[in-house]
Amino acid sequence: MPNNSLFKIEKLSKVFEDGTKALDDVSLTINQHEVTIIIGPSGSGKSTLLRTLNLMEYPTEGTIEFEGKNILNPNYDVYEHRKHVGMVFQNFNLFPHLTILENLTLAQVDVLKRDKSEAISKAMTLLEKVGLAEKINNYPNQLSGGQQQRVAILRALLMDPTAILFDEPTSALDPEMIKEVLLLMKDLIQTGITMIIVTHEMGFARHFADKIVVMDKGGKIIEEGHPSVIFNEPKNEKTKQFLSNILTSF
Amino acid sequence: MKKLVSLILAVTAGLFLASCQGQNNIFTYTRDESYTEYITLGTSADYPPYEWPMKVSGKQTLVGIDIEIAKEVAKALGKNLKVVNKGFEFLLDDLENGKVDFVLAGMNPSEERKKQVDFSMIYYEANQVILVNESEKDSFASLESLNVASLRIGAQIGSVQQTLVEEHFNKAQTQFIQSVPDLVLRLSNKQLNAVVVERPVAEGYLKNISGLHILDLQIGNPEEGSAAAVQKGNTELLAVINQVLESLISSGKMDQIIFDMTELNKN
Amino acid sequence: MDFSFVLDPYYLGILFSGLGMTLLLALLSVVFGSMLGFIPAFMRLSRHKVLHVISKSYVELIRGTPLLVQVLLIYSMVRLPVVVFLGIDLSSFIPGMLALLINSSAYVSEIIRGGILSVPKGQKEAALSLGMNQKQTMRKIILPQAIKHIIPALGNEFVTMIKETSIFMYLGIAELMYAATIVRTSTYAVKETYIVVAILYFMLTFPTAKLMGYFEKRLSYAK
Repeated sequence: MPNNSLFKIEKLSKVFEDGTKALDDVSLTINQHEVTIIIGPSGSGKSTLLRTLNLMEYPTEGTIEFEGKNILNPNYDVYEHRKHVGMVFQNFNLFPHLTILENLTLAQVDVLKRDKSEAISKAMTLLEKVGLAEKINNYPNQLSGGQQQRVAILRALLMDPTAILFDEPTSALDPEMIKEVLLLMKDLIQTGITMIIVTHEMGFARHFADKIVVMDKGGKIIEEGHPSVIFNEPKNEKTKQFLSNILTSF
Repeated sequence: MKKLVSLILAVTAGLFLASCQGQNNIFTYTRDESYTEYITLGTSADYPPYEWPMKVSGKQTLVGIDIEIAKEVAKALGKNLKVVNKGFEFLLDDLENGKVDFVLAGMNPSEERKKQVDFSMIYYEANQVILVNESEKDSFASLESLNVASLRIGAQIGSVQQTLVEEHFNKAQTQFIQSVPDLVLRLSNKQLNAVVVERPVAEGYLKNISGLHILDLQIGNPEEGSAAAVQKGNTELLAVINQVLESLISSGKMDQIIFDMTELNKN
Repeated sequence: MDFSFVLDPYYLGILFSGLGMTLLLALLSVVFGSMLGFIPAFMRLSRHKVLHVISKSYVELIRGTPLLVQVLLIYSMVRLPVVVFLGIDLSSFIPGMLALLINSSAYVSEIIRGGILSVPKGQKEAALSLGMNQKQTMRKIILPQAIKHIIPALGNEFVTMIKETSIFMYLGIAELMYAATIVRTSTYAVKETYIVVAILYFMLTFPTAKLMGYFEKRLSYAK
């Protein structure tokens, strides 16, 4: 697949005040139009790594380049960057005081300066595609978890970003709602949007990832590669350990 | 949200208007229609028969010995009188700041106070008396009988009565607060055994509240009394006040005022 | 006990006048105190250490000293001539009001700050991730959600203020306690006056508490 590197991460480290290492010398290339999935045990720094990509966290050492530009430079326009790199959260984080429609149009109007009517029609188009059009005047607490997360994904998508970061998007969902969210994410892949996902959904990872990145406690990347390699013939002992723990087969 | 804000504003505005018609603490007395200027008296209208609030011809006003004297002073100056009613503690500060021109508040010209303001001559020598409950009137035959740790004795804070209590009843438990009516209430409630106040004040309470009694004991120096206060250095006004007081006393008018006001105090 | 003065329209008038003034003072101090309160609230939330320290000290100082002391201090510092405006003695009203406003703003700033901090962190993150800046985030996402917590707490502050206005009686502002001194001196019915006054204060504070409950309900999201 022809690709340019979208993110170039070099020797990224993050140390907290008490000395714990959240990230340890992480180097990684994320390619455009690819699905990169990060897996690993808790405390391995997966979320921290993800959050540096849209500058929700800052590393203590290292560099990150996005489309060739150094995003850690103090003069870099952080707000502009986030228009191109969106995020979907584990806890959805929809705005509870706004209707579903308002949730979807607020940033389009205020940040992208779109016309209100344009924003509404774009939102409606997507809502109809996922079958949630009748919920436009409802409030988030009137929707199920799966519906809320799908709306959250649409909210990020409506910004026309280059990449979307997914921080354990299904971890807070009841099992019966996970599928609908994963299906929507699968549909997104067809659009060619770059997706970077932190997840425990191994089935999805195996099927849809272009690259798997395995991290371990202490914030290090221990292995990366194509899912067929990682899942079938992992090279690293720790990867083997992790997979055998997480892939329950009795 | 907007509705709430406008509701609050409407209520606030309404209250503003309503309160204009309502009470305030400044009273005017026209001595003569032809007078154009005002002189301002500061007082604390919580102290009959010296000064207290009363309804006269349907309107709320202040009456009392000090008010009558102030009216005479105003007349002598060819001005009308304004009276500002405030907490007792603030009177001398207000005088110092020039907010009021003179103060009459049944005030004793103590050495402490003389440091802050100048006083006129004494215009009324009040005797101090001890007010007790009728039920206990036979328990106290002498001053010493009150100087006992199990008794509670009260007086107005910062007054000459307080000094007397501290002097004579140093073994007893004491209570010094700002408000004389509150002291008398506590006496009636048997929370205090005795309250030391000036005779005319005590007599007023006697006539209006049942169950009280004035002990037949002498306390304090009869030469102490009440005087008017002016800003330090205001010798002009002080001279006028002293003149007015002199003439009131020598003409017998002062005695008449005292008698009238004490009568008025007996509801 | 002799409550006959309650039937006399003259005394009732004095008391209700005082009640009105009390309500007015409480309203003014809460309304304007709230507006003022935003300043220390945001200063304390800011990342600039200096602003944070200044506002924190201000708030702690005001909350740590009695209102009476603050009123007396400000009264002795603000010297104005006796001017009657709309029936109120400004030389007492202005310093008294100033003290109440400063006092109220400190407490309100903590209420505002608490309300803002009680909004879940994820809300701010979601707003930022969409490219919104700090101002947009505060105005459109954080504050609207913070209001839900702020309003009931403000109601409590209002009830407190109603009671604190009694401090004005020493300054000669004709609020309810001042009216009480007039009535009790004229009628000699000291205890009875206090009982009636307590009831009148309650007539103000009780409906306020109920009103706050009503607003709390209305502000919670559609169910």
